[in-house]
Amino acid sequence: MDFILEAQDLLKIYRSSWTRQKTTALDHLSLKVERGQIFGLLGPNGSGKTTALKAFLGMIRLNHGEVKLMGESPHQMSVKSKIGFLPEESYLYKFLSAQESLEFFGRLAKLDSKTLPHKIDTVLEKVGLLESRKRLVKHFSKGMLRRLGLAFILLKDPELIFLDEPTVGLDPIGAFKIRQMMIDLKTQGKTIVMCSHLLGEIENVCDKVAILYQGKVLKEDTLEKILSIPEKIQIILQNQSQNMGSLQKLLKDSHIEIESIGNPRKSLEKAFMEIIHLSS
Amino acid sequence: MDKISQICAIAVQTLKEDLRRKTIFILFLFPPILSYAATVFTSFMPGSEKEFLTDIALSSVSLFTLLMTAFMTSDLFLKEVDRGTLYFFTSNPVQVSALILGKWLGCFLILILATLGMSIFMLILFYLKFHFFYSDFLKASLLLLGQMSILTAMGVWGSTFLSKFTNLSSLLLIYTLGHLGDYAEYFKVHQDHGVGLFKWLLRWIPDFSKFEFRNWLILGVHLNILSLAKAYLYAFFFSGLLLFLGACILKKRFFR
Repeated sequence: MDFILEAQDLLKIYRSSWTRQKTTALDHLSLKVERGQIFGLLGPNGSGKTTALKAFLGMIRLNHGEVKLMGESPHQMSVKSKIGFLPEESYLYKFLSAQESLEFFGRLAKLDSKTLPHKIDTVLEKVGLLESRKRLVKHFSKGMLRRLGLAFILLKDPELIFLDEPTVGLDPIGAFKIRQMMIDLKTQGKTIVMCSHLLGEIENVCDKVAILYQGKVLKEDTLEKILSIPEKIQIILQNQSQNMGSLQKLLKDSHIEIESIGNPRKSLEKAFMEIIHLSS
Repeated sequence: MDKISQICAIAVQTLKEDLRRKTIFILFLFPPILSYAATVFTSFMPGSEKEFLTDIALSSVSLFTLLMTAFMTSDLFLKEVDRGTLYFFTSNPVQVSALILGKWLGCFLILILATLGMSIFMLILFYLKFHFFYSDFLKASLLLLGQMSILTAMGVWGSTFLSKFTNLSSLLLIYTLGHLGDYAEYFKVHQDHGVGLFKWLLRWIPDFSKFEFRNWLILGVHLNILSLAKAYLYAFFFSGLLLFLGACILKKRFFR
């Protein structure tokens, strides 16, 4: 298997500078992420998700363990040019405009200066900020800041993308758009490692999930395996209510126990998006 | 080439950020106002009015560029860490040397612009008052900038590990020591009385007497281009040393 991220036995202990009290943020955490996947780190607040992301990116000093991105250390310059990171808060320079921020970012990422202006236009259009390109970032709403953060990633076009709570604080439409973008990136062959405490978000986009609690991986598997109930079977049929009686009789005669019969439900998000779409 | 482009990008970003923060302009306006006010007093000092005005003008430029330096650099990296904008650099192929050089260059560019702007205003003031073009004032401003390059580097270095207050206090203390105490000259003369370690430490405190514009402009000590070049060489050596130390601290703390 082609693993783009390999984390081995990561241990991170934070010490309070006054009381010297220890807090174990990562407790011998090991993970492997395959290329082309959307991998979700799921856990409650304080479970070590953000610390894990920072450890993968080489942004924190670990007490023990090793991280390899694309087979190399995350500190290698060659690796840094192939990764993108969207932090939980969109950390941006308030006194730069969206376009200036992207130009600055592009030059830091060593992007080709000839194609940079065209690329900036394209990504600003993609994230819906083309109209606001000249506005200073300090006047942006939270949703716009998040989209600008994503624009950085699209501009850099990295192989491996780290997203920390990508939809936190966004309205359902904004969150939906970001999830769509993530799915688009996946179809382009990118690998995404995201962390979130929103179960629905992970369920909607992730292929594989690791559930973190107190710095430990409690479970790691594909979403399909985690969510399926092997002892039960669901059959979805076209609605033919006139034949329901005979179907129930058939199943009863075959000694098959029926737990419930009803219409399948769509997610609230899907229903919301359909209603909004219809009204607009 | 990529590294130079990154340094320039960081410098321009620092410059834009600081220029758009309006508070810096308040400091920029003080020396011209102060010097203009001083012209009123000079009318009561016949004979020494040029020296008085020169002293006031250069001292105010010196003081307010110092305040600008302190204001810009005291929490330069602390701010980046607090705002999280350091991620811009740590998640991109940016070397720590490019980051620190770019930040220093950005701050220094602002000081160049500010000093130049203030000097031009003073030149106009001198022209209106004494009806001659006081070109030496520009040379004195150049000396001042040499000194500011060291102070900027000192502020940038301090911001990699000191709190805003400590860094600010250190900057003001070193500047005051350099100008009021003339400590460097004192210890050169009284070397026998110094304790070994203390003397060794003093060697690493910048000697601002090299940039003392008063010696040159007011007391009439001759300063040629070679002396100016020597002063700048000293300034850039000291700045380089401080930036190197700052880069080591940043690398250890955030870049590994």
